[in-house]
Amino acid sequence: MMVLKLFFAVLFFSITTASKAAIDSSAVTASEGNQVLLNMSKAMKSLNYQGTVVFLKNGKLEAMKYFHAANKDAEQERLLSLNSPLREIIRNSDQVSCHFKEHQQTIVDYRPVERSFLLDIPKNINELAATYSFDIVGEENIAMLPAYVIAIQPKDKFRYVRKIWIEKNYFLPLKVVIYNFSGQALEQVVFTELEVKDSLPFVGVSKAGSTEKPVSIAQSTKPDSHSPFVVSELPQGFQEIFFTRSPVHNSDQLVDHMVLSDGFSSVSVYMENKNTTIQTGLQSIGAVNSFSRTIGDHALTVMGEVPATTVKLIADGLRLRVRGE
Amino acid sequence: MHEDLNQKISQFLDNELDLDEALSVLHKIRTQSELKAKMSRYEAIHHVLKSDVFLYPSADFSEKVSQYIEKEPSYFLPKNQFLVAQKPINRRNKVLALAASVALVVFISAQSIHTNNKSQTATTLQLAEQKRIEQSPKLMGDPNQNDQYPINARINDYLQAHDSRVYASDEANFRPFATVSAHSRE
Repeated sequence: MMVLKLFFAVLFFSITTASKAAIDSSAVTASEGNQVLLNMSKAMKSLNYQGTVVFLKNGKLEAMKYFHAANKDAEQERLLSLNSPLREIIRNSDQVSCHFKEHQQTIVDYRPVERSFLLDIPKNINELAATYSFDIVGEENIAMLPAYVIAIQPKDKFRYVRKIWIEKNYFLPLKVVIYNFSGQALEQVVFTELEVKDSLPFVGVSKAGSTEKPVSIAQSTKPDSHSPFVVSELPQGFQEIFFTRSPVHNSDQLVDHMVLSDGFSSVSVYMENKNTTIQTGLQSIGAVNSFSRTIGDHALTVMGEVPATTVKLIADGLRLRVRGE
Repeated sequence: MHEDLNQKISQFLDNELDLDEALSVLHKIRTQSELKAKMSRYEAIHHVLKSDVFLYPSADFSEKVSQYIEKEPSYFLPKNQFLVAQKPINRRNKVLALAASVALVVFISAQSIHTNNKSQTATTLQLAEQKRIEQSPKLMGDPNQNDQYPINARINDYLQAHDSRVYASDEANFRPFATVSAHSRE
């Protein structure tokens, strides 16, 4: 009798375990790509991880050590260049510091809308169904780690195709590629090794041996200030996320800067006085396209990691704000 | 007289002599072996002064080359036998040649039609991208201001203000002492 009970107990345990495994498996295979992206977004913020990451932009390759430290209250990203010019870049919340070892110079910059050096992930992935589709298109190994391949496919011609390779266990991004419409890779970010840690230290900006004070940032924009220009043509999904007026160049001249974003792709609009030479028309730097034009005494430039048609459309739709508007 | 000849050789190498004087110097060099050696040394010095590469050929180098060229035999080769004695093309070969030509024409036509179809189905975006490459940007504004702030520096400033990932690029060193764009905290 005892043996029979034991037999049924083992049988019950086996069936339960097998069915649970089956549920987990079906959950993964049936899960939408956007669910995997949501998991990735959470993992990127909450986990402690480090590795070696390679940035491939404009035909140039840059290998860096990457660290992400997180606790309940804060998170910190840190990049350490492996090749000259040696530098350490640290993101604490909305502040980015770049310390150049050679010049012992530190630049402190405020980036209220950026969250990661690896890739931009929108908070509202589920609300982007009108502009993007998210599909699991395969499974591959990156840095000897199994990963889902998620294709982020735009539904119009105003943004680039992206693919993200997301590690299966921790849902961390291992590889990100931006493609043009011919399927040619424009930019890549690839981890060559990645490990998750229980904890990682938060470090301060390196000032060892530095004789220079960190470059301080003057904030010129009032919170309620409006841009002196109006963006009348915007592709679906893009919206203004902030505006500032600040000395972008190495001078006191203020430049109006508006950032537009659809969650994955961001576009900047700059306006300044036309008292300097500008190159009108389209220009391209890797995945980044820019279009410059003049309106009256103002020079305007639209720039972003979007196709040429997008920057041109936005630039053509720019007009100066009428008084009282 | 000797110094004068040396100067003439130097002027000859610098291409400063007129035709008659040059011919006179060449004649003297040809008849006097001492002058020939001097000419060779001057030539080497002249070459070193005008370039970083130093090659010192032997004094009789150019003469030997000339001699070898003169000794080189001339060959009067017979015409290709195949072309000289062509056999009449028989009927079977004519048919084969005709078939091959027709096949080639069909293949080239098919290729051109395929290419045309491709270009017709190109999206507006692709055309725009192509146009973008073809379009050369125009300069606007006050050209006198060009030296004050280079165009590329302006674009770099914009790039830096647009995306902090520019620090991850090795081009981040382009402006290490600059003030960077500031964004208001919200």
